[in-house]
Amino acid sequence: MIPTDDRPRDRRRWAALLAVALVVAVGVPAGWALTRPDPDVGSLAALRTPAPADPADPADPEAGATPPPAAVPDAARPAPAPDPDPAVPGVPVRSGRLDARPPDPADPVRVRVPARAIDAPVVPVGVEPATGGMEIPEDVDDVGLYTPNPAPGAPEGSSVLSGHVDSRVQGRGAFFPLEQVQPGDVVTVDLADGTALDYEVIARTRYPKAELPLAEVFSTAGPHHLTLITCGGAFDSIDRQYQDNVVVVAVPTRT
Amino acid sequence: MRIRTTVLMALGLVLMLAPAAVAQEGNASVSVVHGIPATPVDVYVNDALTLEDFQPSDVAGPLSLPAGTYQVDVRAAGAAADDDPVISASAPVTAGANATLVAHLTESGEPTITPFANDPSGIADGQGRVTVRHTAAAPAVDVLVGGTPALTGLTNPNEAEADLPAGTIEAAVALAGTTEPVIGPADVDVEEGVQTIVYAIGSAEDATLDLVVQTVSHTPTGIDSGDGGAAAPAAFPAWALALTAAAGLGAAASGLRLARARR
Repeated sequence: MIPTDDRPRDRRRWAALLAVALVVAVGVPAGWALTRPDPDVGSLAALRTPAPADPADPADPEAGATPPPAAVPDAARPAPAPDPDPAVPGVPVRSGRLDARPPDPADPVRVRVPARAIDAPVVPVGVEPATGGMEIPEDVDDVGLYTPNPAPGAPEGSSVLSGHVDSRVQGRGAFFPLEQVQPGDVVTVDLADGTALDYEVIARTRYPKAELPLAEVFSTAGPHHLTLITCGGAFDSIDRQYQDNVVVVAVPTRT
Repeated sequence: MRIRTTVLMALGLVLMLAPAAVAQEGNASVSVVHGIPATPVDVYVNDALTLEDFQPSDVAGPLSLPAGTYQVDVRAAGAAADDDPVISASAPVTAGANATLVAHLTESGEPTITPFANDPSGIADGQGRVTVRHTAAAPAVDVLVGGTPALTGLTNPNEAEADLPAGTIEAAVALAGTTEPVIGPADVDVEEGVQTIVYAIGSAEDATLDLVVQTVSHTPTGIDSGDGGAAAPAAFPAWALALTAAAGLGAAASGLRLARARR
């Protein structure tokens, strides 16, 4: 026990204990909060183009958090007459001639993010008939490529790869580490013909499932990129569902 | 083989009735196909130049547009914005619709715009959907697959479709009741889960008949890829909670003693 007859010394001791206790009481929760991984990193601005109707409007620097600008003005507010020679960005145009269609790239067989220990076989998937959602491979070690969308190596559009984060029965899935992926990480897609395609991660974003921008994730036009998706966020242990989707976007590396 | 022929009653009707294939999104997905030979054009949407020097046989889009009624004006490429348009149309676009606006010739050779509703939903595993749209200045035609009539009696501006096993088909277009191709034969990819839309364009009289191809993919309604829960962010751990609580009690107790000691 601290003696009670030595009052100045007593006060110093209690003051020191108070200081230490306060530091611990505030520091432990604060430190924990500060070390949580950031749910959103990087920017999707590279995939987006400004609206043609309002060329003065700069590209949104926080594009990761907002939907892309509408390419045509709202019907209620007709745009003024265009400049004599305006640029017309934002509308992808391709030839519809049969002989102009690009040859199909070789089938992808494996996807790897070496920096995050992701290395998984790729299997073709489509739509789950019962739910209308994207089909996910049965085996949590596999990653599904949504085949109705452009394949990796296509000239345009989003190639969508989705894998389990985990499963109650099978444990951790191929995309468990997706939430650790950082901008600049290299994603490699190995093709059946022995070649490989390299992509560089530009952003990782966590969306509540109801707010996942489906039209953008499954876009078939615009700059070609990879979209890697899994589940994340809080887990509802009654519905056995995660609340969010974790979306990683990677663009072809310039070599 | 499922065959469906849709008669388009008036411009815009299809867009209003379009199935809500991606109904959870408020916007519509709109593409534009140029099916008038030898006539590059500028396309204005609500008086804004949206497609400049748009070339025959080109496919633009898809654009994600808020629901509403759009004024579409087509002018010769390079014409002044206030020149009289070659084609002018008002197109109602409903939320969730997936549509293609086709600038093409009527059966008698007049330029027009026809909206078509695209529907890549409900395609069985292993199959793709082939939709043929007659947008050429030509009489009724039959579509031949591998030399055999598969879709018959198709007239401008109507469509017919069939779900086929994924692979490559040899398609040709012949005047109705004949098997002598006026277009093709040409190889068309039938991709699993994809609606491949083949437009017959041009003019029989001018010998400019040709095919334009557009593909439309079904957008899934979402992605559920985990039921384990191990990836959920950890709650504030019990040891940290205990430590924080103990420190809080310590602070209260020492503060109390300190206050007492000061007396």
